[in-house]
Amino acid sequence: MTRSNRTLAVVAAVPLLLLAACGDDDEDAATDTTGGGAEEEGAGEELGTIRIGSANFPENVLLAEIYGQALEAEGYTVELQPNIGSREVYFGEIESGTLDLLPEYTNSLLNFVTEGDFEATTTDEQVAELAEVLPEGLAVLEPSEAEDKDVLVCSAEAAEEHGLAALSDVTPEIGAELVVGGPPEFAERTSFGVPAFRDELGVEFAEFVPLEIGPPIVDALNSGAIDCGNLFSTGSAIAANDFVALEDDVDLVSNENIIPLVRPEVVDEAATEVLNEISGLLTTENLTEMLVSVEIDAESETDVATAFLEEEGIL
Amino acid sequence: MEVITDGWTWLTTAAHWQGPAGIPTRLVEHLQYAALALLVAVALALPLGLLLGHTGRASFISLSISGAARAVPTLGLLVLLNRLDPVATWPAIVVLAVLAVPPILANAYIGVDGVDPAVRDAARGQGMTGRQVLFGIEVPLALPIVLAGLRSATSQVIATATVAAYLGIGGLGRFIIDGVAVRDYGRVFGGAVVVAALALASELAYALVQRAVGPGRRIPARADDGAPGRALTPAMADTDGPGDAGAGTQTRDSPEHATTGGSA
Repeated sequence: MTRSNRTLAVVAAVPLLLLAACGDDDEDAATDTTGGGAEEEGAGEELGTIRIGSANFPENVLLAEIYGQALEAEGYTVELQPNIGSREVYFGEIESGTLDLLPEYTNSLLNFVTEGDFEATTTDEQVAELAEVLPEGLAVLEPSEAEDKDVLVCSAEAAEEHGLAALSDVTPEIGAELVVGGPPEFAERTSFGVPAFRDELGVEFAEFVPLEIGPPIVDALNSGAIDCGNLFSTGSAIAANDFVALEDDVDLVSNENIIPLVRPEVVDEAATEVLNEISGLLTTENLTEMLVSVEIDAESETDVATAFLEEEGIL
Repeated sequence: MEVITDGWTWLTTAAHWQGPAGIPTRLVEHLQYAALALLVAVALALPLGLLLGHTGRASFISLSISGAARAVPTLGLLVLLNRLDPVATWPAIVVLAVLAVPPILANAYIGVDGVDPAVRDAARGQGMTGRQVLFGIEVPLALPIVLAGLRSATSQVIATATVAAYLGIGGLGRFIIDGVAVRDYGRVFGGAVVVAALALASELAYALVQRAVGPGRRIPARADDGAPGRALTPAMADTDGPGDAGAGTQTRDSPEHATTGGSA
């Protein structure tokens, strides 16, 4: 009896402890953000509460922090729910009305909402098509020029040796000398991968090495095992290792501009103005620099967001 | 289950059995990694295990090594070694060898260490040198246990060699990792089936070898007592005792044997 009671107590306590641990984080984040704005700098009038979510990767968390702190400075009450998970999860939440704002990406969002059945390739087309296909009650605001998309990145040595700065520099002759790394799907997908290079640019790489996006590709670029590899355009490793991200001057990759997905019912005109201003300030470059601070210098997303907004004169 | 029919379709598509990314190529790569790793593991663990079993000293060494090696997380070590030398094959060989060492080492040690002391003493009593005792008596007697260790190491290595695909090199793991990446679960399933079939085939091969050399096998006599082909098992050695020792090897007497035998 005693023994089973004790077991029960332990079993019951573990989730409580976990909850407590999670609660701490949330409280910290909440106090951090509320402390920064509303009472001190707010316009005094009563503004609504905006619930902001994010996907579970540093860049998206950072964007949610930037949105949140900027809106708080304007006088809104912000509830931040970072690291929710994949699009399947957080999209359901904003659709059902438990979230009001999410940092999104034009092509990925369009692809998700239409289940791959869409035409748009340029940012303008994507935004226009999104306006048509988004479920009722949801809308996108102005896109930022900042993009987080697939990019072919070459080591400094390979870029110099072959004179590579843009995808148009990858001629069939040069391509045939390049060992390229990418995720396994790179070998087969028609959008940005081996078949696209073959069919659209006439390029057949010397060799394709299947590697995970992230440290495996970065290490292989640094060791010289591969000449170029598939990374994401805001990847902190690009700047940190002096890699050369080849400019997409042949429109091989769909645009992935960062764009706020909102419920206009809650995100009113004043909030929209704030978010559009943020979108105007974000660039692929400054986002990448911020991610270096988060991923390499291990600073918190909250602090990096604050520093950015202070530098831009918003806080 | 759709994945099973997809897997069957994948396996029975002729195109998947050809070319540099076909099943036969990947199978050969897979076997190469596994064989190389086993070779390394055998070269390191077998002599050490036999020697430690033979001397009967420092048993903690073999047990500690095999225990520690068992605790090494294969994927963790692989990721670590890959950082040192990306897109190389040797990290895969090393992690697979680490995986194969414990069963080979432990079984070689236990096999030799477990030989009836009376047999060992009988051999010494007949004037055999330490080397003769090891290779003429202990190794043949320990063979079934040593083989069991090799068998276990082989199937583990074959089943685990799929991790090599993480390094960007070949092997049957490519079908599993690439299949997941492009959500082609038929390919994942088919690849897994090939790996499983390979591991089962190795089990079968070992079972046949083990039966051929199993306990009770007739071992050519090394102690020139005029009984070639005489079955040398612990049981027989016990009943025979040292009575039929050859000429000039009468240094030990029976009380000693009784003591050693009793303590075992």
